[in-house]
Amino acid sequence: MMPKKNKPILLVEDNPDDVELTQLAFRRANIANPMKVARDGAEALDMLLGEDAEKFAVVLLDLKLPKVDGIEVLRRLRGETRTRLTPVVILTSSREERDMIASYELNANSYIQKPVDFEQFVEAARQLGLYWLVLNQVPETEYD
Amino acid sequence: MTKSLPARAPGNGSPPHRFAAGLAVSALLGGLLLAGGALLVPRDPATGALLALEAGAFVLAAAALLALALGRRGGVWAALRWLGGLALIGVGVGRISGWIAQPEFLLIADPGAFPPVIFVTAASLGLAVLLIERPGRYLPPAQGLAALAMTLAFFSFSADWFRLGIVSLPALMSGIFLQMDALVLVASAAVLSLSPSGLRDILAAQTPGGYMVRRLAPLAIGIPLLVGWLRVEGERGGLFSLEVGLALFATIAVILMLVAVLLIAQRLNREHAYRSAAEVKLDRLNRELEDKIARRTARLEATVEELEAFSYSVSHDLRAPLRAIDGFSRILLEEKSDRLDGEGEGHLERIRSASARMARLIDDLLSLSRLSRLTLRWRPVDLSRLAGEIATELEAGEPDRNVDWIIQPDLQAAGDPTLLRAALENLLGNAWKFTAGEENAQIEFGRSADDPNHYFVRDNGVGFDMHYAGKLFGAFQRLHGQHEYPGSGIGLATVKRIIHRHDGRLWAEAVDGDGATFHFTLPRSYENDA
Repeated sequence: MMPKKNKPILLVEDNPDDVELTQLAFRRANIANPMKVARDGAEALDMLLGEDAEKFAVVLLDLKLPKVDGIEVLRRLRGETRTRLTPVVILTSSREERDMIASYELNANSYIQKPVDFEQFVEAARQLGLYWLVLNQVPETEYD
Repeated sequence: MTKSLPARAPGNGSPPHRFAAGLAVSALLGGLLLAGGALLVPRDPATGALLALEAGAFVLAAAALLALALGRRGGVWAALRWLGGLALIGVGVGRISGWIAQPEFLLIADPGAFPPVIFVTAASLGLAVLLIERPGRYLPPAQGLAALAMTLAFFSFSADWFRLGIVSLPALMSGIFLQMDALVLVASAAVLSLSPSGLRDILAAQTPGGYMVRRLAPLAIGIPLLVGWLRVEGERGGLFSLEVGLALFATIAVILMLVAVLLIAQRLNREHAYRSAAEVKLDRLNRELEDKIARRTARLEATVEELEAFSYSVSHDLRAPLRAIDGFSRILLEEKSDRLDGEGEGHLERIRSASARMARLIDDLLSLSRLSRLTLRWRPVDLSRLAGEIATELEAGEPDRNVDWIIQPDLQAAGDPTLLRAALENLLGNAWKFTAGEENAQIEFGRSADDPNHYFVRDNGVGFDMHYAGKLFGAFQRLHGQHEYPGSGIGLATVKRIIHRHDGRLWAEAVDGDGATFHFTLPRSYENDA
């Protein structure tokens, strides 16, 4: 199976270290899809809902973000026809129960706590890529 | 500030009973006196014997009442009550119907004769003694009968009183009437205060009502007797006419009663004022207390909120740099290893293991702070089964070890099952860890024989120096080196917090090098988590 149309991944993350590590982890996990980065919630909303918005295979969304936080980004995405079905994976440091509940209540597709151990992080990235870019099916017509 | 009403506790051995005992003793002595008088100073032997018989009946009844006042109810004492009651009834009925011959009975007009009313009162008093413990729908029958006896005795007593006057007492038989009437009055009062509920409760009540009755009732009885006697004596002595005597009687009685009522009312008013003032004060104190509690709660809530924000921030922000440290060291190790010598690689490994340790510490700290915020779910918990499961898990983790487990069966407690499991996991896990070097390792879990809420976990491992016992339950405190026994030092702090959340206590005792025992208490019943 080939990754669908090589659609890009959107990483919403303000910490440059984490951006670098995530990119490295995805590269190590042999995920070829291009990765675009939004540095805060407002930028993410712009890239997803703005005038020349792209379609992303999956959005990796951190919760603690400058300007507009992750939960608010998710709320807005789910409120728009164009993005209400876009796969959104919460990728965060938080293990707080209330963050998980808030995310799932807003129909996040998955919730993953970023492992501190880099090997585990690479493994998580590999599984994420395999699942969301290869295995997972989305309704192409309505979605596109 | 006035003194409050004398505080008297109701209940057994309390006022009504002591009071009743006093009355019964008086009746007993009166009866004996009467009997002695009848036997020693007889008008004629036959009458004296009869009188002694009647006095005997009174003595029996009084003794029965005394026994009851002292709390003697069963066996001999019940029989005594029956005997006394029946004797009085016998005397009364016998005399009235003429079964017991007595010459004076026919000579009612004779001022020295027994008036028949005495025997009616004797019979009702006897019946009252028999029925003394029987409850009634409105009024216990004994109280009704005693009231009847008292009324008749009072009537007869006051008739004699006014006819003879105090000064003209010497006539022996008349003295005997008075004595018998007084006896009936005293014995009836004893019956009233001994029979359950009814009038006794009103009389003994520690309320303004009870206080008023206890003060007014003796006056209501005494004043008419005294004033009436003065009136009769005055009229007899020709000091004033019938009409003037009546007017004087009414006036003096009214004044005396009114003065008594006013004095009592004044006392009750003072009492009331005192209580009102106390209530106002109490009210103010309550309000102040509520204010204080509200302020403290607000402060506490603010602190809790801050703590939550803090732990959220710890959870989120402290981890990110660690991930960078670990990730970039790893990448360095893998991609630039050609430029690193063995020492450099070793240093990088140390950086990585340090960041891994810190990540674990953060996780442990967060779990600990979560413990304090969690709402407890109270359920019945089988501690023995839990301990057994944990033991099995520990053995599965290190199958080579041979530990002798002694787990007392069927230890039931109440608490949050998840938290109690975590507490036991820590305690048994510690025991497991610190008996690692022991050849005949033994771990015991049981309940104290003295206190059903007191449990313990005992091992024969390395123990610890009691000198440092105080540091045992603080977070990140370790009494053994990391290299000897691994662990973050958070386990016992977790146990302590869990036990405290269950309103229990946790303490430890040990001998350095010779095992440790951890004790904790848990409630056995459900309680609301405040």
